[in-house]
Amino acid sequence: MKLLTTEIKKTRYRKIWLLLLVPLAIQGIWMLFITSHTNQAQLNMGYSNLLYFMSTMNVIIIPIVMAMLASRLCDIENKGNTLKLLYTLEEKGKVFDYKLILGSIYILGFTILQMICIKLVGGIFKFTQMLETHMWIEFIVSTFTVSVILFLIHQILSFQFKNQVACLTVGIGGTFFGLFSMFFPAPFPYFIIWGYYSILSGFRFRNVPAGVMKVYEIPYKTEALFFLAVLGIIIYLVGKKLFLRREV
Amino acid sequence: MNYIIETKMLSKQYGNKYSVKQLDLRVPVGSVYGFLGPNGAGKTTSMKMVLGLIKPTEGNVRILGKQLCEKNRITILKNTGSLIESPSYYGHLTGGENLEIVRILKNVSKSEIGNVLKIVRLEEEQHKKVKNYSLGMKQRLGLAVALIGRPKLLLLDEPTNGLDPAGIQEMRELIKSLPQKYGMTVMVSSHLLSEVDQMATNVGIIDNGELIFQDNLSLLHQQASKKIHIRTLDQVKAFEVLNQNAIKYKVEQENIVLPILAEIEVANIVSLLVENGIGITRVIEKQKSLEEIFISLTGKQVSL
Ligand SMILES: Nc1ncnc2c1ncn2[C@@H]1O[C@H](COP(=O)(O)OP(=O)(O)OP(=O)(O)O)[C@@H](O)[C@H]1O
Ligand SMILES: [Mg+2]
Repeated sequence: MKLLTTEIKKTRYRKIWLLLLVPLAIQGIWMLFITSHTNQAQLNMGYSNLLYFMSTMNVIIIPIVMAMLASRLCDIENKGNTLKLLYTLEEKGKVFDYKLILGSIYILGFTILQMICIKLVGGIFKFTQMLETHMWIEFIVSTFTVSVILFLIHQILSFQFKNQVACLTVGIGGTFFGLFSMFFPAPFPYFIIWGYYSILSGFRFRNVPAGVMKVYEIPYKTEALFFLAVLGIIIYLVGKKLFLRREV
Repeated sequence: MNYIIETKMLSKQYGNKYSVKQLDLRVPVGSVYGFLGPNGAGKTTSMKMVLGLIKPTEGNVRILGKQLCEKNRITILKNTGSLIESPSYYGHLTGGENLEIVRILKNVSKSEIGNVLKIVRLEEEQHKKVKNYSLGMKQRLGLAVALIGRPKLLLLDEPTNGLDPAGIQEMRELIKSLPQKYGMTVMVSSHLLSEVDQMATNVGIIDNGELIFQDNLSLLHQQASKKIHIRTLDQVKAFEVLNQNAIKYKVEQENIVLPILAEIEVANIVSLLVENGIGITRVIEKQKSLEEIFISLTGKQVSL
């Protein structure tokens, strides 16, 4: 517990919540805008639309947010040469683990707030569709898992390269990679973590004549989530090994 | 436990070069151990190995009576404080907040922050962000971090770096006082012999990764024994005469150097030279300075 306490104390003055609330506000406004432009017929598919829409927006916005979050949390250790001090106070691996734990807590908060935003927009526009339990649980589990793994990747980069440009570049590059991955033939998209916000979304989009519902629900891709988790564990093990190997 | 730190054959190899080679450090309990060596000698590398921050290529470390390994490292190090190379700090936090983080990790009482701030005289600056500290203030903060919880053992790597003359003097006095005041043992590295001479009770000299001297500082002083230097008008002839009479001598900077002898012996040697028609220009009693001993041990000129 004291390791988490100190991690939280270190984030003081770092404006982490601002970093998360700004993209959230953008997404919220965007949702309001989109929803206000849909016709009445679509409102009975309101939540499906928003959940689909949110997963696509996450591909665009979250990678860079995760890069910035990881950089803001980890760079303070590089800047002040603190690892050689921390290593006399706690086990080396825990320095790595607790950064990931703190990041995950922020990401969980962020994801829940996204879900609350969706629900609020639904309330404002009086969606006739029910927000079913499995829908929001799937959304939170998927978004959280993908974001945590992206955070992990950037945490590794942030520790490995003192110059944070590496971390941020991968964040921006990841966005494009994630968007284009949707057009790659199977099984390639499954190896591109940035694209998983879409892959794991319970909704798909179909091009149909105007006025007809375009978003439809598909069975949740549990096996894809499982595969992603395996990728995540591999990245964690490799990243931690690299971290521990570094001499201070 | 006579030695608070004891290393055996401690070595570190980078590439094919040994940065530290078969070091047998012995730091007595309650001492101020001056770890002396020129730049690049391997001081920092050795101290990092003692703390388990880097893995030795060979050898082992006993610290506070226990064999250091990855499993017990943190438990043992709870009783140590360290300042290695440059101070570690979070620039975006204040000095007080930095100390608070270390305090929590070390599990000591809150009042300790005030205490160490007072010791390093940083009370006025404790609410200022560390990124706005001067180098000397950061160095003081680093020392405060090391002192939190009154550890039994302190490892300080060139702690006077970046301090002004008054600060240096203050730091030396402080280090010197730690064993009596708090019962600490201090291992402090420096490349200044005069500095080690001022604060240490024991000294280890490292050069090129090898320990070339280790003992009480007083023993180093004993090496600085007095010698008689004689200078004549005809040194070549003087050497001949001394050789013929089986008098042992050394030559240093063209002087004849004799060990300290009884008064009468000195008089006899002088008469002998004069009788052989050699004009004496100087007979001086000289003492080697610590610097000269250091240079003769390491073969290196050191800055003072
Ligand atoms: N990570 C590393 N990789 C390669 N060589 C290293 C590494 N760390 C130290 N060295 C080498 O080991 C030698 C000893 O370095 P060290 O930092 O221990 O010296 P030092 O006695 O602390 O010097 P200074 O007085 O300048 O601080 C140097 O030649 C240095 O170049
Ligand atoms: Mg050094």
